[in-house]
Amino acid sequence: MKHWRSLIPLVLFAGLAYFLMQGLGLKPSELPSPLIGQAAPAFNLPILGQPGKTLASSELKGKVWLLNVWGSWCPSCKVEHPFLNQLAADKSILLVGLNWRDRDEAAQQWLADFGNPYTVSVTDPGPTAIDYGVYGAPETFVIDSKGIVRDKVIGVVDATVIEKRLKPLLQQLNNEAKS
Amino acid sequence: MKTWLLIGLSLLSFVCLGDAETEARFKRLTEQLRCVVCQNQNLADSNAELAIDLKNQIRTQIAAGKTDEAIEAFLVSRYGEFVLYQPKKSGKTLLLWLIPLAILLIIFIIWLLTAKQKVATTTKQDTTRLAAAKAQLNRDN
Repeated sequence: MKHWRSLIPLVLFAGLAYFLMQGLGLKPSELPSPLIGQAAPAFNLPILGQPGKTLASSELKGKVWLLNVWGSWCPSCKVEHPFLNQLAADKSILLVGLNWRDRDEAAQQWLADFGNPYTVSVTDPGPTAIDYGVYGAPETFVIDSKGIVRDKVIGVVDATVIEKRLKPLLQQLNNEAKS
Repeated sequence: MKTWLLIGLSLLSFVCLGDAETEARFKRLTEQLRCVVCQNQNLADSNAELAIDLKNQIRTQIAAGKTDEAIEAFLVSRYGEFVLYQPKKSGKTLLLWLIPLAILLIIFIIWLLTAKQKVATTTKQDTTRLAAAKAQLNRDN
């Protein structure tokens, strides 16, 4: 009778320690996107470097695509850029750039300097990024063939994210699209 | 001339009053909404570019006659409930409100049970002691 009672504090401590340990692994700066599982907000934006032409999100229906938010003013985007170039080596991947709060000349210079991984880039003065709940560049959305947002990577897409997160998901979504 | 001036003035004050009300609403809203870029600041205090975009967005929506709830819902649907400094008392946050109450209730029940037990044992002790005392009294007499 007395024995199990003396264990109570230990069990309580273990429980508390477990929950506090969980807290250490959280990244409070990464907000969970309420958009995951929802339809990707529609847009119709001018294409970067092709004056007068626009891209509507509806044109991408039926395709699995990535939307990468970037800007030439964004230092983390510079870190991310070589990885995107690597990703784009696979021509089957449809990577749409959302050039956010940038000047067209600066953006085009950036692509000329560091290479252009994007299938197409559109320019956004702000409202579309707000619709997507963007709060910092870079951010990358994975959108399936039905136009549903399936994942959102906040921060730099690096080799690990590409191999462990994006490629398996793209594979799965492409299979879903075919079936 | 005087009447016109009066009418003009009253119109002006009306416009100013209307503005003050909008301004108060804007202030209240932006003070209750979190800036997602610098997360320990509210929108009102933040000068981050996105915060300015969002503040402009809120101004436009107020001007368009949207209610406070609609504006909050607009932001929550994009950035999540995290943007509200006072999250709604439902869904995930309900647990936060209920757990302390549940713990309080459990402690109360435990206290009630042990207190009952204590009373029972002390009463038992008292009756035996009383009996012993009575016996001793009888013996002494």
